[in-house]
Amino acid sequence: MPKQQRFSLPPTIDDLSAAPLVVKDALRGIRLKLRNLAPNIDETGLFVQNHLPLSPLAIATTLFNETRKITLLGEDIARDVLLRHRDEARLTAFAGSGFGSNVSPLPEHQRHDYVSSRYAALKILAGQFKADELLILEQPIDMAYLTLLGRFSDVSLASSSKNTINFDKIAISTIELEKSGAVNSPNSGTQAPRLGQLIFAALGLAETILALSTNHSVESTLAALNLAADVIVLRKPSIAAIFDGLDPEAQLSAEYRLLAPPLTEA
Amino acid sequence: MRLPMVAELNGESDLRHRIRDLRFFEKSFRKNVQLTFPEGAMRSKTDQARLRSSFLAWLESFQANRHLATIDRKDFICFSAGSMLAELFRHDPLSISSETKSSDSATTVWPEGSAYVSYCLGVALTVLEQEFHLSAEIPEYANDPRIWQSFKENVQDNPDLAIPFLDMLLGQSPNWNEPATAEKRPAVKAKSTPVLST
Repeated sequence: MPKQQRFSLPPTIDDLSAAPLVVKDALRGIRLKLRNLAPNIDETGLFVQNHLPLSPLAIATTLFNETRKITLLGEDIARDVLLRHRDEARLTAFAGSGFGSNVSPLPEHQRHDYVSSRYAALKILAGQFKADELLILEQPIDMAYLTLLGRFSDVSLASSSKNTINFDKIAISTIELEKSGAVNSPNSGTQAPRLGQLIFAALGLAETILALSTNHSVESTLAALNLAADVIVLRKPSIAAIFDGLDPEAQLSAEYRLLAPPLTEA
Repeated sequence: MRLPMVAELNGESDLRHRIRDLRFFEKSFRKNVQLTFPEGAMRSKTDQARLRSSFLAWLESFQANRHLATIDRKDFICFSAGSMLAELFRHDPLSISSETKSSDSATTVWPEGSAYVSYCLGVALTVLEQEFHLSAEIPEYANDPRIWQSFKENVQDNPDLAIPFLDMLLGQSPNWNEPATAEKRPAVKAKSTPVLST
């Protein structure tokens, strides 16, 4: 029996490009775990001031608190240094980096814009859905982007006019992103639609609204995300039926055709 | 009955398209409430989620039936306004607390209902005027409190009955039996080409 190779293939250019995203996502996962593990004690160091011998639990708690402080400090520094990467700033690329406006094929540099702007938009939408602590990962968005890029090279998906909005492509992108695992939504049993489905449906609706609009400023993008989230909440039964239906891509496309024009600012 | 929004809506060119814009719908609805209840004694509150739900439900009905506009455009305008009224009744976004009685019988009997009717009637009349240069007169019985009492009871039982009620106010033949089925409207049935059997 041949010995199993530890590394099957050397990394491709795509793998190398995605490497920073993998690291960032791993850190996000760790950060979320640390937050969820936080014990319910104050952080004034009361345990440390007590001169009695510390129990193993107290030592662990103290160490944890110190680690948490360092994490928070790191976050603060990162925010200051990477100001231009704040979520809202990243949204400038949201409207122009999607697949719905028929700029085909998307230039390679748009891969970064697509991933980072969608990550930022998902974070904002998670907030709209009162799920700020939701773990959102960039690498699955990147993987979805590459899949979609391959899929949209098919001429049958091209629109007849370069100026028309391709609702189908937006719907396909939305379903692909939802399947990607970019949003790790908690399993709420039989409850439908799932939170992740609502968030992605809102993301696609916001993209469609912006594709129909000529105003792509950060303010308009935020307004579109806000309105899309509100409307998708009101359409919960339809969204559940779409994701559980036989042809979710076609159904979601029809939903966007129905909803987006009346939501687009004249 | 009072129709305070007609003048405002007439200032909007191409109202039949503008009304399909959620932002415009919300804004004009709120303005109508403001104009209908200007007195300080009446306080109104509009639930945004319910208002949006009524718009989205109306939009679905509008898109599903819009092919019928080619059969009788005027009738379709009346039906669309009636559908909007039905969805407003179904989702009931407005709540009004009043301490004094209004001089308007409709407002006295049912303040929320009269606000919904005055808005949808205003939209229908304005679109009819813009599209066909028609200026329909509101019948006298629209000021009869008994009509409003009866309308209130019926609509609370079945919100779709708002459609034939609005038809009556607009002088259009109503369909009381299947009010939400656009194909069964008298004007549509009269103009539909019968299918020839081979």
